[in-house]
Amino acid sequence: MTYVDDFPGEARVVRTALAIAFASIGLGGALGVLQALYRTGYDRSLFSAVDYYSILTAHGVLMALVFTTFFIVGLFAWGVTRSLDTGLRDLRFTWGWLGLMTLGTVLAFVSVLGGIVGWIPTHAAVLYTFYAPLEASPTFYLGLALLIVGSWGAGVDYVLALRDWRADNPDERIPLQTFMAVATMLLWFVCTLGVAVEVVVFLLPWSLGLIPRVDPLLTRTLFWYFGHAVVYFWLLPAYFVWYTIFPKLSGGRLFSDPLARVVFVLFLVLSTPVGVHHQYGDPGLSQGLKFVQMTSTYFILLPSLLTAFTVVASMEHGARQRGGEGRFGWLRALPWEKPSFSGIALAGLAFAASGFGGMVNAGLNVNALVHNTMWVPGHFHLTVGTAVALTFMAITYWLLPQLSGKRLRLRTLAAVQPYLWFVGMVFMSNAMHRVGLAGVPRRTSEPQYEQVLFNTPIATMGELHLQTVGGALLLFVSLLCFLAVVVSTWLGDRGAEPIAVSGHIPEALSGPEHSPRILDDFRVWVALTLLLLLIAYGPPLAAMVQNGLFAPGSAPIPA
Amino acid sequence: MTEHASTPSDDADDAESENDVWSRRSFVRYFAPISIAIPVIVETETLVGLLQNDFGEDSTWTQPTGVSVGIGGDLRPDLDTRQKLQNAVLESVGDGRRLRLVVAVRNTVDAPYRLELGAVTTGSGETIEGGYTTDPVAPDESTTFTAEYTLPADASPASIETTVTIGNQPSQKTVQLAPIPTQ
Repeated sequence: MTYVDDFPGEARVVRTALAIAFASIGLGGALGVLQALYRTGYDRSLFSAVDYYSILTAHGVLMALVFTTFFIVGLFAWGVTRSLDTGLRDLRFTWGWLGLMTLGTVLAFVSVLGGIVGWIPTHAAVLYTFYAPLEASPTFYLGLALLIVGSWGAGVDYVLALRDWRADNPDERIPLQTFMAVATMLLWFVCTLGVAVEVVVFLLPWSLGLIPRVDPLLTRTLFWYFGHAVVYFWLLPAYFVWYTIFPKLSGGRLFSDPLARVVFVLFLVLSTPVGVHHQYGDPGLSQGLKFVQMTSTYFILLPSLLTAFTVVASMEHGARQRGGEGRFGWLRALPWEKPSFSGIALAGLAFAASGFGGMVNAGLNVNALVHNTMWVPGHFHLTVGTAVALTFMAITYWLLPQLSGKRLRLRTLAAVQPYLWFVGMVFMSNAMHRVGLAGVPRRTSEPQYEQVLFNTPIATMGELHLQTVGGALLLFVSLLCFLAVVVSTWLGDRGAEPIAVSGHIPEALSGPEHSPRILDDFRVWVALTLLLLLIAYGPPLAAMVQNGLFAPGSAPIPA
Repeated sequence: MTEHASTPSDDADDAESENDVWSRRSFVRYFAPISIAIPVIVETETLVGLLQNDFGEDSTWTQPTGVSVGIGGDLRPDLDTRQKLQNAVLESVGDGRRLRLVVAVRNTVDAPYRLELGAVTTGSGETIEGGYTTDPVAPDESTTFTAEYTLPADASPASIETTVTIGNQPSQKTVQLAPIPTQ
């Protein structure tokens, strides 16, 4: 028996969420290639410099918001029901929130499309960060609000499933996958409060003409309250895979369940009170506040470093179980031919590299060198574009047979796909980082100014453009391979072959009994999170609204 | 289906050929090592290039000439007085280009002050004579002047000689110019 047989209704929900996610990444990826061709000057015949911003917005929204969110709610629905061994409470509610998310996505995407297609009376060239002073049509904000509210429904669904399970198992420790899913959704509840207030109280009324103006600093601050934590909303589901499934794919077991729980609690507590590190260039926020949030940001390195240790230790354990020997020789014993393994391993490697770039971004003084340059998209193409996206694609190869009861098809294509993605991203992201060091701006359709010479270290701008486009094309080919495998498997016959994967997750080498039970008491961690948020955001938000909610500007700093 | 204590990996036997074309050995021997070697090579090249850029023989650090000054910048940030490059423009004239530099000075010290703009050096190393010298500027006084040079066609200014005299103490410096807009 496999998951689709045990939970046919839930499997359908998960498949639907994944299908929307894959449609989004396919469309968003195609737009990404067009952007790369345009920015580098290889082809500027397909659309105008103005349309570039609508396409950039669509790319960002589809890849960073839609693909991730739909995949995550699907993955967690699978993980919660599998690990609790119980279905969701009411599938009508489940379909309700999934429908709300889908409606929101369609509204937001059509709004962006209106910027390119003349007969759609909307516009939304506001980029995926969508804060003022850029303004979109009300339908764009409404769509995003529905997407977020729908995802809240997913969180409620998981918490209800946990409560039902808890009633029957009062003395048991929460299964690790459910613990991780609930911790992540609690983080999501906390961080989306900022963007919900930004959209519902400010941007939507502003775009409807109900209020004449908004305070750009306030909306930016509310966005970044959400905007950094959302990175962890993307990343923690990847960690969910790395901690609970990847050790098994390596041939072993998770090294430490308690360490995994500590990591998720640390992310829940520390992820949100650090958003100001995206606003180092903003006037109206004191240097002191920026310095404090910089130090808070560096605290987040701790759970990431704990993860690096635990995941690599689990991987080594698996390799040695498979007969691997020697100081590094065990690496050869790992199943590099299996895309679910290789994709996650390469994603982890990219994440390690991006962590160093993240330290540069987080530094109050060093950030000034790279702020608003191409370095920044280079960084998050490594984090969300590889660590997260490649993990999601890789685990799809393992998950899809269990969700559909069909064996994975086009397996050679699947086996090569993660390598193509990784190498393509190495080329593209490296070039983006390097032109960023030369000061090339981000969010700019034609960054070649006649009288500005970008002093690129090492290669010329032309060579770096070639590297960018070459990387982007490799990524697109990899994406097509992935979609071909998924579609082919989806359309295949059920039962023709054994699915060759099992949903069993072996116990950790060090189980939850080795950790204090307070780790499972989310009330404590949410209370601590809210306290830190009050300290981190109370004073600056109070300063911003002292002249009125909608009045731009704040008191001079220093006074 | 709770957390079972099962065998570590109960997926299909690893020995089973999961791929239609390439063997497991191909991935272990070629795909994985090459994929990991590529970022190592690319990033090593980047790091070495950055270090050479900053500390190598051709490094600009070996010939410290100061920071390039563009429009809005101070020509002599090493001094207490103010000599702001208010505007700079290149215009095509006849078979050459005219460089116009508008400079605003302010004497913030308690001694007579004078600024002299001397020769301009082009990107190809050619020296263009010309310039402008202010009258003595009294303490707390300001003045603005325009200096003009005629450059060969397609030549761009790279640096300019400056002399600031405070009291009887002259201070000379070659100032690097940032790229200047063409009209």
